[in-house]
Amino acid sequence: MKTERLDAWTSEGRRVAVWRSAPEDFAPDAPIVVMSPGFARRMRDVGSIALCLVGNGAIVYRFDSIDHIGLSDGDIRNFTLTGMRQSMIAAIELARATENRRGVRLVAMSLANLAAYQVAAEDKDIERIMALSGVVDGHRTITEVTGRDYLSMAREELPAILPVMGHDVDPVPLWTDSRETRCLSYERTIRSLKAISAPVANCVAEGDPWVDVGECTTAYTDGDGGERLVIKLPYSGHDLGRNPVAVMTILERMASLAIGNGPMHDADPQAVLMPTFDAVLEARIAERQQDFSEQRAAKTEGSPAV
Amino acid sequence: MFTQNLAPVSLIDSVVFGDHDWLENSVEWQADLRLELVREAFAHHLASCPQYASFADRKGVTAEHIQTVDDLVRIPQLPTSVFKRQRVLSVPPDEIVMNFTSSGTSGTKSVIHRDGVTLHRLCGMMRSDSPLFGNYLDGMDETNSTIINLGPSRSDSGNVWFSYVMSLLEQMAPMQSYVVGSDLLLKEAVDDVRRSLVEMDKVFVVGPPFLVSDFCQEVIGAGAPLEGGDSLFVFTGGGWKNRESERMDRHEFNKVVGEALSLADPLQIRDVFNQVELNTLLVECEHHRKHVPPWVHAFTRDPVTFEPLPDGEAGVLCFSDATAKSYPCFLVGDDVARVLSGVCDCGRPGVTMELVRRLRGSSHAGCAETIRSTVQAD
Repeated sequence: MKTERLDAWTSEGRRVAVWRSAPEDFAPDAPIVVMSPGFARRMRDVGSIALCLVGNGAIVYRFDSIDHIGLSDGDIRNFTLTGMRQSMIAAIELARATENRRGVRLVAMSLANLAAYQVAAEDKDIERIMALSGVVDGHRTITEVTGRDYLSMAREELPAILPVMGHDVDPVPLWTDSRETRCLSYERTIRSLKAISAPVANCVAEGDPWVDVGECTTAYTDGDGGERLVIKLPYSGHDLGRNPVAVMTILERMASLAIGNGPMHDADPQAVLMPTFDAVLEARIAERQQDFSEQRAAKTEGSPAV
Repeated sequence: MFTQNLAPVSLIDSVVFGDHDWLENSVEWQADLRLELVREAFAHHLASCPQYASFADRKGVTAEHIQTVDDLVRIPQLPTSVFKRQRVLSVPPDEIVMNFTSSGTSGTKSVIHRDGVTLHRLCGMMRSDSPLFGNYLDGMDETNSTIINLGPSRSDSGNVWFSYVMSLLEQMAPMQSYVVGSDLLLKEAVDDVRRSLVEMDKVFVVGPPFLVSDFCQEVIGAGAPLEGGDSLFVFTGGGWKNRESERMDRHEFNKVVGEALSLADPLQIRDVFNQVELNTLLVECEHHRKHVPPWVHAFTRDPVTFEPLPDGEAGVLCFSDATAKSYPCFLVGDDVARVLSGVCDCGRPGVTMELVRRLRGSSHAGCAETIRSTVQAD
C-alpha cells in the first residue's frame, strides 16, 4: 500500500490533513472510499481497514478532523461535530478532484457516522455508507460517555473543561454546535437517513455501552430512505479495534460492503482478500512513523497541528 | 431493513484481548477459567491435528476425561524434540504465516508453524495495559516512550523466535534495533539511550541479559554516567546461553545494571520467560516471580517417574498453552522450575513460576543463543 500526504481545505480555509492510499495499479472504476476515524482516534488508527480496502482494489482517503487530535488544524479542546462534517466534505472534494470522479463511498467510525449521514443527505453522489460502531443518537452517546447530560444544561452550568476519552474538551463549542444545528440529535439522524437513498450499513457490538443495537435498528426502520443493514457483532465494548481477531472478521465483512456494487445484504465476505498478519503490523508501525514525522514537520513550520 | 449476525468471538480471544484484569480474581476463579480455556484448546487440537489425536489416543485420553482442574495434567504432552522431527499442524498448511525456529546449539532446530490467529494472540498480550505485565508498563504509550532493542529488527530477525518476539514490542512504542547483520552497535545504542532520556518520559532497553551486561560495560567504559533515574527500564529475556560462565545471579545482575545505569529502583529491571514452542510471555513481577496467565496451565513433573509434582516442588517444567491454534502447545519443556499457586508476595493471586536451571543434556539452548553466536560487539 502506497500512502501519500495531501491537504484539503474547508470552506473556511482551514487545513485538513488527508492520507491517500492506493494500490500500485488500480482499475479506472476502482471504488473511492473516504474514511473517518471516530472521536479521539487518528487516521492512522484505521490503517488496517485502509490496508484491507486497498488490497481489494479501492482508493482510500483518510483524514484527521479539524479541532481534533491528529495532523489537521485546531485542537480537540474545541471539537464540534460540524468541524468533523466540514473536514469530511473537504476530504470528499479533494478525492473527487484528484480522481476526477464524483462517486464516493464513506466509511465512518463511531461519532463520525453522524457526520457521514449529514453529508450524504445533501450529496447524491455518495454511493454507500459503512459504519463501525456508528453512533445514531449523538446526544445519548455523549451523555453515556461523559456520565452526565451536559448538552441539556444551561450554558452557565457547563464546566470549564470536560474530560472525554482522555482528552480535555471545552464543552461550550460542542454545546453551541448541538443547539444551533441539532447535529447530535436522534431526530436529525432520522431526517438525514430519510434523505439518503444510497445503501447504509452499521456494524454494532451487542455489548457496546455507547451505541445500542436496538436504537440503530429503530433508526434504520424510521429512516428507511434506501437499503439499510445492521450487522450485529457478538462482542462487548465500543473500541472494537482492540481485538485483532474480531477485527479481521469485521474487516472482511466491512470490506465486502465497501467495495461491492450489489445490495449490501448480499455482499460476499469470502470474496475479500485479507491482509497478512505481518502486513497489518508493518503498516501500523510505518504509519505511526509517518504520523510522528508529519507532526515534527508541522511543529517546525509553526503549524498548530498536534 | 436487514439485520445480520457475525460469528461470536471465542472465549480465549475475549480473555486475551479483553480489558478484564484476571489478576483481580481469586486463584480458584483463574483455575476454573484455565480449565475451560485449556480444555477447549485440547478439543480443538484433537479434532484438527491427526498426529496429536493419534498420540492422545495411544495415551487413552479424550476431551471428556478433562472435567476438573486436576484433570489438566492428564492432557498428553509432547516433548519439544517432536518439533525438531515433524511438522505438527492443527490448521491447513495455507493458513501458516511464519515458521519459527529455535537456535538449537546442537542438532536439528525446533520449527513451530504459526498462523495469523496464533500470532495475533501473542501480539494481543503485548500491550502496555495487559495484566500480563502487572504495573511494569503503567503510563507507557507510543508518544512518551521509546524502546532500544539489543537485537535485530523484525525484518532482520528472520525466523528466529526470540528476536521476533522482542521486536514485536515495537507495536507498543517506537523501537530502534541495534543488532545489524552480525554487529551489535553498542556505542550507538548507548548514545540513543542518552538522547532518548532527554526527549522521552520512558526509555526501555530490551535484550538478552548478556547483551544488557555488554551494554552496561559500554556505559561504564564511556566514562560518562548515564542517569537512568526513574525513566529507564530494562527488560531481559532469553538467558545467558553460551556465556553461562559470565552468568550473574539475579541480585548481582540487578546491582550491576542498576549502578551502571543509575536506576532509581531495581524493580525497573524485569525478566520474561518464553521459548519457541510456547506462545505466551511469562513476565516477572516486582518479586521476580513469573506470572502464568489463566490461558496457560503450568506444572512440573518428576524427571524420573514423569508423574506430576505437587505445588512448589522443583521438576521438569510443562505447559499447556491455549493461545496456540496452529499447533498443539502441550509441552514437556527443557527447564527445571518450581510452580506455585496462591497469592504472590506482590499481592496478585494466581500461578507463578520460578526457573531453577536448564535440563542437563538438553540440546535446545534457546533462541537467545542465535543472537549470542552471531553478534560481535564492535
